Amino acid sequence: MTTNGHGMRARAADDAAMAGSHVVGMTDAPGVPKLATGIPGFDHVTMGGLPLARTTLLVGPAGSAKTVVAGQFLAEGVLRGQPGVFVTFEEPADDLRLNLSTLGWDIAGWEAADLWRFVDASPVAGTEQVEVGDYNFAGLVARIGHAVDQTAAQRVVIDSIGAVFGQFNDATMVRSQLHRLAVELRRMGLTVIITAEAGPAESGSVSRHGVEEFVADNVVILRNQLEDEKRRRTIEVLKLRGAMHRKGEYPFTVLPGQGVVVIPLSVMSLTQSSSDARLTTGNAQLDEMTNGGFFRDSIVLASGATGTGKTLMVTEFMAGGCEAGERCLFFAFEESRDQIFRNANGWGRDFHRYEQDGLLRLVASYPEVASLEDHLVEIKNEIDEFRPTRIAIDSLSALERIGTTKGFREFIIGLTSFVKAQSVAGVFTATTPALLGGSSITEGHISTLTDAIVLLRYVETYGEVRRGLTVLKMRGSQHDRDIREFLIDEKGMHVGQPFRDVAGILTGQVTNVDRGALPL
Amino acid sequence: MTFTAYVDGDEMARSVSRRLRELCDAQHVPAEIRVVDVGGEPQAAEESNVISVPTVVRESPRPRRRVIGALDDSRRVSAALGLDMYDGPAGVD
Repeated sequence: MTTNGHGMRARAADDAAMAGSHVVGMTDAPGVPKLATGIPGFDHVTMGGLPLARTTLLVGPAGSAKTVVAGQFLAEGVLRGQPGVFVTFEEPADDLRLNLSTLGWDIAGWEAADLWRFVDASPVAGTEQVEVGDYNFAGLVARIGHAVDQTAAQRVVIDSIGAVFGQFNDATMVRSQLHRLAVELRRMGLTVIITAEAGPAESGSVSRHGVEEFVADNVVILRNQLEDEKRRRTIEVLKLRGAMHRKGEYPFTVLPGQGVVVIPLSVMSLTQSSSDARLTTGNAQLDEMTNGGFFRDSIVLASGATGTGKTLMVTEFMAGGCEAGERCLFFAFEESRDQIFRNANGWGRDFHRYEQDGLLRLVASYPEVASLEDHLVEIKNEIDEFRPTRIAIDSLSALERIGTTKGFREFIIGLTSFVKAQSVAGVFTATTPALLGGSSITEGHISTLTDAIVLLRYVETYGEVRRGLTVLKMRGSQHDRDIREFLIDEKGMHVGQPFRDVAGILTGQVTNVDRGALPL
Repeated sequence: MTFTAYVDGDEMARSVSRRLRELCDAQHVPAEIRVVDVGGEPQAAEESNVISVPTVVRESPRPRRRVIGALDDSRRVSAALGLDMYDGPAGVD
């Protein structure tokens, strides 16, 4: 068996980054050595971090969080024992110190401890400057060098290139001086991020001023797009010369007290282990239909119209876990905490007791209070903190309406891969728009990512509406293929006999079949 | 007039202060020049926000004036630093 040692180490670093633990020092991927930045998720996208002792250009339009990403690069460095220098040409250092502190970093404290320095090259109001001849940037180089010496800095940020050009008239001179600066910083062994404004789309140049051709072999692009009236931030590694990286756009979010969190998609798809262990569904008959319950580390989708019993199924799944002494985490996006507890009580499940025993945690929130990316980070944080054996989300459809189609799909991929990697069993619900039959949009996005699908349906028979349930698919397991009727009472769900006298339940085109007419 | 000239290295220090004195003499401006080598005094460059060298700051009379780049062009440098407008030391008529 051949194993790629480099790949394995990079993967381990990625996983550690995903789990929120600190990646210290350098990671060696094939090619150029890299410096793990520590920005959550970003080291996965870059496959280990930014090229060590090189300059990376961070390009994006106004409002794309360039300064925050660059600032976090330094902050994560300080937290890992690698001091940093922030060279600002735009915002005064006093403003930056204040703004970046809202992300939870004690920059003033770090300055006092010689772990962080500002080189404040922001324009001074009222200072008129006239260019009379040739010049070079030795002043800037000396100031950066001094700050680096004082702090023993390993990381440097220059924010932003556009503001440098704004301070000088001769663009050609500035370009050549920036090039010399980059060479000098490289000679000093510093890993550098330079921010730049995005160039106009028609120019064919990634950044305005076209500096990327000679300033940086490494280019990362930030975007902040409005799609369907919803904002979507993404980060993309355009090139890392001589080093591997992942391609494409990755969504990210900026959270107070936490900073930038990049959301890697389908990260752990290759490292998932499939477990044979089963967990009870919380319902004896459904356990039978699934041949012993859901697999641990599997994702189950419960789909049905409103009122078909999805929340009941989730409630039983949670209660079944608590009864078995497992920790259960319940994310409710449609109903309030009080409603959930009242419902559970009505079905004979005592959520209060489970909560007091520390086995159940209920997180109820409105989908609209945050973006999908924020919800995903929140869900991950809750899972990291509570360490549940099973989780439930009721419902995905409520989340779907706050994001774009693409954003929702990325959310689902990010969520399912994370949940599986934690060896957690998840039941997610999706609401079908039609009362009878039909499938939901949610289902279309998620069905291939799920391990099992349970359909809950209204069934109309001879002037009566009944409820039916079927296990549509279950990866790696035998399961009952009947569509069975179920009843709901104060003890919960009771699954009974298969429907034998109706057809077309799944499509919603129900026809009653008169059994008397059939040859016996 | 008093000036601070921010330079990089001895050679630039010599050429800039010689040239500045030359220009002042030509306009009959008494000049007091302080030379700061950014390599040796980076903190001074930080405090005055000096990015490029040479940078010459006219410290007095106020308001401060600031030119960057080599001082080859007599007319432009004199105009920018106000050497051509000099009408004697303050308080003396």
